[in-house]
This record gives sequence, structure tokens and C-alpha cells, in this order.
Amino acid sequence: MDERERDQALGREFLTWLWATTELEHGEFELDGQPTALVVDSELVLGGDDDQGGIDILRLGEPATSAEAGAALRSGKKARQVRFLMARDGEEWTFTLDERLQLRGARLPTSESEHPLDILADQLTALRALGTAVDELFARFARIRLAANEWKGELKRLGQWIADK
Amino acid sequence: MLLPRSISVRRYAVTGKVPDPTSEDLAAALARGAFVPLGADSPEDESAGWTGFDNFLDTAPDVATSFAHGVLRLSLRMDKRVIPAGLVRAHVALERKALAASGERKPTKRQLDELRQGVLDMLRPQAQPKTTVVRGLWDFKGKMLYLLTTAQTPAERFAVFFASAFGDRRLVQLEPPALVAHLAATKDRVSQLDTLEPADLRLPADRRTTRRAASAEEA
Repeated sequence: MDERERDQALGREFLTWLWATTELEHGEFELDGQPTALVVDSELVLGGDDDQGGIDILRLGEPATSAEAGAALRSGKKARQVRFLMARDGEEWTFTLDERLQLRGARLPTSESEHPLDILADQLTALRALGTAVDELFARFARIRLAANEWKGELKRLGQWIADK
Repeated sequence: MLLPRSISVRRYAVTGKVPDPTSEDLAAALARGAFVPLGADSPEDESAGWTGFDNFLDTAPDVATSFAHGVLRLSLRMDKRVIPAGLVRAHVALERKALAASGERKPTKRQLDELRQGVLDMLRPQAQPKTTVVRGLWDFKGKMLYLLTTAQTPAERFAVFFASAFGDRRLVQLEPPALVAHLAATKDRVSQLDTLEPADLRLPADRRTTRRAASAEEA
């Protein structure tokens, strides 16, 4: 496995951890100092670290709770792309996060301003907020992942979540 | 001026000093890197440069209209003249046929290269450049750049052009390992990345009894 593949493997672990955490913690997070809801929305792409066994693209119904998603996790696959819905203070973001932490098809909250410059300011604020949310979630994951003892405990939690899927 | 309803974004940290938006240096850097169209008689096949964020035909972007709310809106236009290989081959074949008909001996490799170059020179003025535009939002406050694409090649070209246009500043894509080094909360753990191997997230094989299976057994 080369460096690039190893980097992406870390991204896949993060996405899978985040998906599990949204379910185990009922989608309730504290991000940017505010209560924030985060749930898996309408799309999941799963695959193995070695590209063997193919890719599963799940879009119909509720992919996160589907039997196909559970089977893919139990076969050792991890999330490669997840579409999330984030809500805070009456505003909603939907976005797909991939294993390189790129945002795809991100929809920002609709601005209620009228002047184009004010709308742009609202869009920039919303984009920054989304970036901050990704950073905070990744930091939370990375601090656990890069501490051997904490990761050991987290693996048990993730393993049980996968077994129960 | 506004962002599209749906956007795809690569995030970068911008290294180096944040420029003063009112400085002449920044205005000069933008003007120096402004897009210059490929001329019909230009020997170049590629051109890249800054254009207006809202219209890539605007080849004179300026800081006054591009900077708002702490963000410089950049648009990089990349034109590449493409002469279809099949068309070149067809013209070369015609030229060779004409040579043979005039009783010339079989052309040498050098003559063939010259023939091909002559065909390329003839076709170049007629070839329409293919245009690619990549837009970015340089957030001075957060020392970040949000590139509005996830396509690899244009993103890489944008990063190279940005570094050449704005001096000692460069873009570091915030992928998982780079983000560990970038975030204050995790930068003390960067050294752990060297020995990191992908984990199997499942329970060990001997403990993979699912809750469903356990309930079924109990029943």
C-alpha cells in the first residue's frame, strides 16, 4: 500500500467512524460551540482498502440502515463517500464528504438577504461553518485514532456497531 | 458574484503572509497573471491566467471588484489548443501521397518530421482552444482557499499557478494527513502518522456474533 492509498485509508476510517458516531450518539453534536444535528442522508459509497470486492453505491431509501450497508461493513468494507445532512439553528447543509475530505454537491443554507453582496457574505459564512464542522469532527476522530489506548476502546465500539448492523 | 446552488470544494491551507487587500503588490500580482488569449498566429498551444470571477471573458480582473468580506474571488482560465491527431495524420498522408506522385523517393524521418510540423503550423490558426475555468475563494481571515472543483488536473494546475502568481505562498490540500498537521488540536500527533496502518474495524473473528444472531439463538 503506497502513501496515497494509506492517506485515503485514514479518510475511509474517519468517514466510517463518523457514520457510526452519528448513529451511536443519535446525531447530536456540539460543533463550533453550538448544538448541531448531523445524520447520514441519501448516499453511501462503500469499498475495501485494497479495492477488492468492488464498490457498493447505495442511494435508495435509507442507505445507512439498509441490509446492504450492514453486509458491506461486515465484509470489511469502509465508507468512501457519505452524504450528510447537518442542521443548526434552523439552517441546513447537505453535502457529500469523500475519503480525501473533499466536499461534493454541497448545498448551503438559503440566504434570506436581498442584496447580492449580503447573500455572498451569508454564503461565505455558511461555507466557513461547514469547513469548521469538518475540521472539528476530524480532529475529534484523529485524537482518538492517533492514541493507541483510546483507539483500542473505540475499535470495540465500532466493531460492535458493525456486528449489530 | 454569488456561489452556485450546489458546489464541490477542495480545501487548502494557504502558507505565507496574508496580503494586504489594499496593497499594490496584490493588485500587481493579479494583473501580471491576467489571462492572455491564444492568438491565431501564436506558436503557443496553451495559455492560463486570471479572469473575472463572474465572466471568464473579462481578462482584466482587479482587487477592487474581486475582494469582499475578507475573501478574494479568483478565477483561473486555462485554454488549450487541441489539433485532432486524426486530422494531422490525414493531412500528412495526403502530403506523402503528393510527394510520391511527384516521383520523390521515400521520405526520411527528418523529412517526415518537417512535413508533420508544416501540417501543424497550417492547422494551428483554425484550431479552437478548449477552455477550462476553475474558481477559488481565498479566505484571508482563515488563511484558507476553497477551490470550487474536485477534479484533479485543473486543481493541480490552479495550485501551481497560484504559487507562481503570489510569490512565497502555496496551497496545501487539507486531506486527512495534512489536516492532522494543520489543526491545532491534532498537530502534536503528526509523528504517529508514520507508523499508522489501516485498521480492520470489525470485531475479532471469534467475537463476530451479531446481536440479531444472538437473539435468534435465544429464541
